[in-house]
Amino acid sequence: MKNLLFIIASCLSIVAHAQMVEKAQKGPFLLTNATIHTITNGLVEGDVLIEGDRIKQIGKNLSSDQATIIDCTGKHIYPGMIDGGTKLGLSEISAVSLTNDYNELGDFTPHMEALTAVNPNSVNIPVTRTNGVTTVLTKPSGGLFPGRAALIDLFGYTPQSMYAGFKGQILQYPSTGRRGRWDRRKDDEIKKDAEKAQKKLNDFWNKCKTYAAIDSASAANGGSIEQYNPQLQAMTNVLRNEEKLMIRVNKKEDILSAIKFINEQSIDAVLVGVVEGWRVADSLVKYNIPVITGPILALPSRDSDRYDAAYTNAGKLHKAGVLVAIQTNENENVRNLPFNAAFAANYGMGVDAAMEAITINAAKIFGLEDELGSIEEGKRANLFVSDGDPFETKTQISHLFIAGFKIPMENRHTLLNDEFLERFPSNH
Amino acid sequence: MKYLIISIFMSVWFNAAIAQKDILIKNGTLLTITDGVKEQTDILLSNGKIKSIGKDLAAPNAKIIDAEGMFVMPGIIDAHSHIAIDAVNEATNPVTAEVFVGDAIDPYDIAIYRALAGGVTISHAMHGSANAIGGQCETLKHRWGESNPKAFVMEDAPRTIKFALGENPMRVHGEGKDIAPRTRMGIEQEFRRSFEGAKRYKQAWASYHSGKTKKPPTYSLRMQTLADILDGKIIIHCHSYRADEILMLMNVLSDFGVNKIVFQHVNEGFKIAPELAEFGAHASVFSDWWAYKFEVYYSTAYNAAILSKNGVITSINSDDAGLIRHLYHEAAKTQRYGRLSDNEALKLITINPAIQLGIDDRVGSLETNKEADIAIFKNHPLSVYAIPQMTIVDGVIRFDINEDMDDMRMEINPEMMLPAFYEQNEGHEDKCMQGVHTDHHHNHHHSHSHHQH
Amino acid sequence: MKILTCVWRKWSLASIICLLTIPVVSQVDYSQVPNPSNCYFFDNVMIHEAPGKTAYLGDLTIRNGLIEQISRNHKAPFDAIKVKADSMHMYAGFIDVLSHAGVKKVEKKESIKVKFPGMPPDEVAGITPYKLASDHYDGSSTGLEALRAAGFTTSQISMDNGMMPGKTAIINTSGNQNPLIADHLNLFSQFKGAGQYYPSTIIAVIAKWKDLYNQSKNQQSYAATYQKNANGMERPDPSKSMEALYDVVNKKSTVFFKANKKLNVYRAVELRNDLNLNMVLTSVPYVGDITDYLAKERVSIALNISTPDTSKVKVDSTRLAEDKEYAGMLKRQQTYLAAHQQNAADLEKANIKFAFSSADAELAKMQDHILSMIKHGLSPEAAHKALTTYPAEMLGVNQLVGTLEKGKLAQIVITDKAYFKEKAKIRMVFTGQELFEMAGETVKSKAATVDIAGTWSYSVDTPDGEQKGLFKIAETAKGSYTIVLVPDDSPEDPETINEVKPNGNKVDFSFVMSEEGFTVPIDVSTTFEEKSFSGSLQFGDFGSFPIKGSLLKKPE
Repeated sequence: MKNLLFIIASCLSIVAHAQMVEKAQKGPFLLTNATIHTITNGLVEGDVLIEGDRIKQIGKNLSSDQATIIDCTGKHIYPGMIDGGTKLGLSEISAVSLTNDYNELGDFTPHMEALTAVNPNSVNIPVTRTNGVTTVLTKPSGGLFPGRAALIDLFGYTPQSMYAGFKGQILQYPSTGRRGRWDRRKDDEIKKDAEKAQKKLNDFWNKCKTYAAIDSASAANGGSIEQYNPQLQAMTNVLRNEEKLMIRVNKKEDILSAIKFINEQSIDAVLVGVVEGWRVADSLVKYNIPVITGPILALPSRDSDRYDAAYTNAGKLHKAGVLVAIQTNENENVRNLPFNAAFAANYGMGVDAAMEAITINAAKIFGLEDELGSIEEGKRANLFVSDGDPFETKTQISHLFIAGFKIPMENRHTLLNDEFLERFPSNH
Repeated sequence: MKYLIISIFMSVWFNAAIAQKDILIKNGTLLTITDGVKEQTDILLSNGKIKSIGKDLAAPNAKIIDAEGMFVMPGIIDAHSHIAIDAVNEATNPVTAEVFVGDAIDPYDIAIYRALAGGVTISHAMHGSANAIGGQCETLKHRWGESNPKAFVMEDAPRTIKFALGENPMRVHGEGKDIAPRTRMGIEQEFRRSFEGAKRYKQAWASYHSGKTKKPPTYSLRMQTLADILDGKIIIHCHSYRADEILMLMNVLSDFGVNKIVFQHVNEGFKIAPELAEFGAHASVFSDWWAYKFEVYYSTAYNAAILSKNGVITSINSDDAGLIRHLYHEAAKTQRYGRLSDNEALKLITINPAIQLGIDDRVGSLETNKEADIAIFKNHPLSVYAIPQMTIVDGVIRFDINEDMDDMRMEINPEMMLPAFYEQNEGHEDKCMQGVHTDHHHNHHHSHSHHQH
Repeated sequence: MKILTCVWRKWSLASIICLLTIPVVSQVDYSQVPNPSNCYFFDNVMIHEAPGKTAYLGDLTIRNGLIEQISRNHKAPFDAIKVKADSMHMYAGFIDVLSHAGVKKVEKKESIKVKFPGMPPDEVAGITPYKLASDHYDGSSTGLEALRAAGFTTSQISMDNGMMPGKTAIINTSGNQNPLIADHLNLFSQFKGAGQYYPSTIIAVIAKWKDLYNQSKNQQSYAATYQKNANGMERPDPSKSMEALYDVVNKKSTVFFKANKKLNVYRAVELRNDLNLNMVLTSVPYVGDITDYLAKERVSIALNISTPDTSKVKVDSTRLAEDKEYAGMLKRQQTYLAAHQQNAADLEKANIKFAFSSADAELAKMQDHILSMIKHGLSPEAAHKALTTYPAEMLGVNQLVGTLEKGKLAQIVITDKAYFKEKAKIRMVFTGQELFEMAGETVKSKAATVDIAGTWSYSVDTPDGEQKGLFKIAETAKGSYTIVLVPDDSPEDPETINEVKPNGNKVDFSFVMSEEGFTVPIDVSTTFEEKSFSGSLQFGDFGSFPIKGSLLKKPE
């Protein structure tokens, strides 16, 4: 009998060992008795049925034959949070240059595709998603036109399976500010550099326009453009208003200049960063330009600014009537998106608006308001279950679903905790 | 025109004089740290000290602060920062024990005020991590508004010195200058040769003073400082990440009979928590920074919790002018990652860093006779919805959310109309490596995302 | 024996040298024509002997570079060159506490190979206290010319490389081959790192100072013991730098320390106190708010001559009207501007003696800066002292220079008007036995072409909105007008400005407003058309605002 027990125990331990690597599970799942924060339809007490990659049904006392039932009594369901700007998947260890894939050489590289270089197995990804961030824009940076950003879900074995349905060209608008405190250029040097960059931008833009026109004309004649150029080709979608231009710009004067550029060129644009947006909120409202601002947990940009200038920017923009989403501009700590939103909430934006900023507003800006950003029937099942307000620092997230998959709640940080919290005392 | 003259002359410098008056903070929820939570309790500050704590205190001449519904806690202490100093790294030599950042305090750094606006009353201004043995550090009190750098020094705080292990000194000297150390092996030898040298230096002077030798040894502030470390007069704060290098330094220190050591960053401290506890070493960590360089790739945000639960005295630090403003929030992250209790979490930014700086008998908790360093919050400081309301240093209000006038600069260039705009760097600035090799920053394409802490 | 020699020498040579060049004709150079005499006579000049003394019209004779005679009236010696300076103002030449003029730039020693950047040779580390500025003197430097043009006849010059470039020299600014007044006396130092070599940062510069000081001190006392009885003792082995610092340690030598920002003032004083040094701070900026500290610490100060350049502040009046933040910032900045401008006055008020150093200063506008200080409360006497007697004391050469006295060196500056009262031109400088005449141009004013008589409306665009009123202008003499300014908000309180003379169609006039105990000078500068005018109104140092107006009616 003893032997038998031992054998069973060993078998169990083998089984347990085999299950050490937890994998995502496919549904259907029925999440019951939760407080559902739909974002678009207020609070609902009830159940959520997930089937395939969709939210199949929301309501009270739902039932499903096949579904795994997850009791969420006393818990809260939120749509997955969306970060409007990160480097996730494009960089593993920022100080190890060969692990960085967001920064191609050259000022004009709009043909660079972020999605190409996304590493689905980056250890940063599980660390991020277990805080409820299911979807992020990952974007190249560096030159004036560093490439095309891509929206990705934080689960998948290939970049393509992670792709969440939005791509946008980045323009890093010429800055008339200092690059940082280490920037010792004289004021007139800064001005000259900015003018030079502006000229570069204009020259390139004019070439893009000419190219797009010839390209269209060639197509109308049943042919294709003779002088094919990948850089200019990559911009044609933007010039035809088929793709968004995401303009990173921060300083007041630069924002105004960017707004002028948008209007003159009549392009579909969103401003990114927009640190001094609060100084020009009326212009943003007037021209109906949405904004992805952040990081919120940042320092003010001028020594004379109020200490909370970065905390309050999103709230001021929101109150003025700007459509606001939030970015962390992070890589390994995109997990702090809810805290960035929370600081925005706390410093003037309000909790509901801040939650909208990182869910439905982001979805709207990416043109995916029918797909992401709220708990609605028919939408993609990107959501998480928590024991409280996900902004609140101590809140624990218990379940996570991306595209209908139930995602394991472990990551490098939890695994190291599991291994080392109670270690043998020494020398073993 | 009359009005013009008057209005121009009316502007009065806000900090002309801060009267030192008793302050009575009424009816707050006191987070004492060492004596539990006291609801609806008063705290009286007099002569820069906490005079009394209790219900219904009376002080007829005191300024009254109504803290009803507010949380009153000891001023937050940051055991690792680089604000308020003009020089961080003397990166020319792997051993520069003689340099002292206290010689280059910048009382006009706006970062001090911003730290106060986050409830931080004391920061440990540290030398950077370019060298195995960097410079001596200074414990600063955030007496914003004072002009003299000396006014920021926390009087009689123990001396501290910065050591650094791993990639930073390896990169600066080995890779950057082609001189040892290029490896963690080489770094160990920097400590051993330095301490051996210091022993001999001490002996040589002893021999001279006793008359045994007639010629005085060549004076060296560097060797003298190292000798002071051996004599236990200086607390070591060592920039470190990997478990192996931390164990190495503890071995070296054991060999030389040194035991005052706080490991800074110590991202792999969780792997050797029992060893740290046994040695009596302390740990001062980030709440969640990781993966910015290879030596922090195997990190966990549970580090602070694991260390605390294993009996290591642990603090959470900023190393950054941005982070220092919300250390209360950083401490709260140990509740998401490790479920620490409120008091355990608050200790990480109050009494524990005080212990690490050797000032816990004076600050770090709300106790009578301790120095009147106080932070008052709307909402619990560990809640993400906390908003610092008022920060008091030595009984003087240095931050008051209702008195903030947006532009709080101390020194203004009379020839420059608008203050410079600084683009935000993606990720975090490289503070521990400040001033080391800034050339790469001038590369337009560099993204500034390196976290070389 | 080298060591002993050095110890014996002990810089006992470091004493005041008064080398007057004696013309030695060894070779003939017909491209130069020598002066026929070494005696100069100034007839009927306004003599300002010393600060605080009443000026008088008198005569002055110089012979061989010394003041031979100074009195209300004396005869010109028969061999004198008579200098035309009738009714001009004569002062003791100005004395500059520290400059890098007249010193050859020290070339970087590329030849020195440094294996360990943390242990460079002293030369590379910027530690060369043994070097003498006099050895690197370059009389042809344009810097000396600029000093003379500003009225400086005496300057302490120093090299500028590294934390401890070397010993200074006190020279006359003539550019002569042999300009030394004193040598070997003082050391110049600054918080300047050696780039990629140790010491690179200010904290290492301070640590290095402490090392050098203590090493020098120990070496010196050991060498003294050794000298008494060398038996059984190791030989002293001071480095050149340690040896060169003996006098600093003994406080025979003063350290002139560059403290070009307020924080460096504190830091230098801290170092001075730590090491018990004799120290004078140079290039000192705005410190008017810390006079208590300076007095308590008994800090010796040579101020940077430059005062804030108000022309750099361009006020955007449209923005001012709309942008509260901008208006607030402007207000704060103006408060600071006012404080900076009162820097020298505040020091005087606090009884802190100060001189000036010209290094880092804008010499070309020197008098503008001095007059600005006077306008903002510095007494003319204190300004005069700061340029003459105080620096002479500070440099220990007050027996030789600083006042116009018989027997002193003829270091003289001559101006067309009273230098400490009104805008003046420097016409002559006498230094190092040489007379330098400065070109003095005269400005012709054009005759009036526009008749401005009549009643005009005006409006000034100020931070607090438009200020309106009337100009009532009447021609009182040919081409000369009286303007009565009647503000709308206080018509009972008009301002009258007499003798306004248009220059072409440009009309400039100034007046002073007094209000609530404050006085503000107002300068109006306009261009008149037939029926309108526009221009700017400079409101003291607080900024310049646009003014415009139009003709309401011509005189009957």
